[in-house]
Amino acid sequence: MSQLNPNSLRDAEQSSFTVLDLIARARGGDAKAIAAIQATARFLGLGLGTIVNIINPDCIYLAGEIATAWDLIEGTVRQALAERALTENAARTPLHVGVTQESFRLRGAAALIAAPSFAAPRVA
Amino acid sequence: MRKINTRDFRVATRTTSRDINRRIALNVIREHQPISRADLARHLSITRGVVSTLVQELIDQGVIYEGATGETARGRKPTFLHIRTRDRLAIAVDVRFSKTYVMLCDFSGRQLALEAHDTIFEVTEFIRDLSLRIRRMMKTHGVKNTCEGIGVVVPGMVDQRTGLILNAPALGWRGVDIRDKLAAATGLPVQIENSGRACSLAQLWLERADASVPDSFVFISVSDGVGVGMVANGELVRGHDHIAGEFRTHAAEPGRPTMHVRRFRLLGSIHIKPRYPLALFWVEFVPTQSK
Repeated sequence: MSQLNPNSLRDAEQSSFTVLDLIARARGGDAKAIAAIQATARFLGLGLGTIVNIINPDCIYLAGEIATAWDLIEGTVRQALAERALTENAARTPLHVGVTQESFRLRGAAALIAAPSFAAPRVA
Repeated sequence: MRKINTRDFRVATRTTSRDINRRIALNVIREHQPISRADLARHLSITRGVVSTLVQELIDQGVIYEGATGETARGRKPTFLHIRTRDRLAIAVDVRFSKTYVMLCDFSGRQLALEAHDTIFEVTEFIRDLSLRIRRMMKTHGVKNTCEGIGVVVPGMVDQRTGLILNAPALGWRGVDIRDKLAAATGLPVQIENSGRACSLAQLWLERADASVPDSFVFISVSDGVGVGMVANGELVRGHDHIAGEFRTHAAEPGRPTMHVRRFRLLGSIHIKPRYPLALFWVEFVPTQSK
């Protein structure tokens, strides 16, 4: 739990350097930026592999700034996912990328209010 | 099959079957709108008379409306049924480390107004400031009486039963109540959830109904942190203590149980800040000894 100290991140010095800046650097050929993106992609793929093994989903939706760099990282992500996945089918779990608009979290907040009026009633 | 919990169950009443059928009808309308009563009856495999009763109840509840009259080769012209989303409104709040975003939108997630301001970390001040902004936004857009609630998403773990934010490292909030205080300050119902999970709910409920969202999927957002929402059998997986799917703490490499983050900084060498575990971006991951 020590690593989840609530003050840790807040007190950390914030850089104005954003994920999009990093992706732009990588596209420009910056070796450090490419290494950072590829390392992230590998861990993302390994993480997806773990999740796929646990809940075996129909598909995975990927959102956030990283989706804008999908052409750079797809190979690395899929390879890492395949390494971790227990079966070939699991390794081929479809990845849907493209929820890139900034407001996707806000849509999530809206769903908290809208969804209950459609949800199945609880029975038994 | 689900085991019946003998300490927490719902006994069926005289209206139970109709409640279920009405909710099924609502979802079929949502998926096939605009749809006539006759087509709805065919989809549900029930008689026109029963469908008419269900539809009238849904109209009375204000969740659907009758739209334009359709054309037909013979017989009475059908009226088409639609889900009411455009005039049902909600306030959406996204609390992030850098900014807090406040959006007025309809039940399909369509944005009507959006504001952003610097996040306030002191909780009492946060509530006071946010409730003022929400009230002002509703007044400006003349929706004071039609807004049905406030949805708040935070980068952290939330206990759905109590509404308590268990731990949001990015905000420095632990054991913090936003839901009930914001509800008291605004007079509106408030729902609060982890942002990744809420995103998966949006994927499930706000996507175009014909986009065929599967029953089981994982939603992952990777930006300056990682958000995860897992949906199994059409329902969000929360876990016993509401921390299921906290992706940040999973072990990325076998035998290396804990990962720390190195922040990647421009205009100089890589700056190491071993702070929080496995948030993915502008980062490299450096395995460290588990504590």
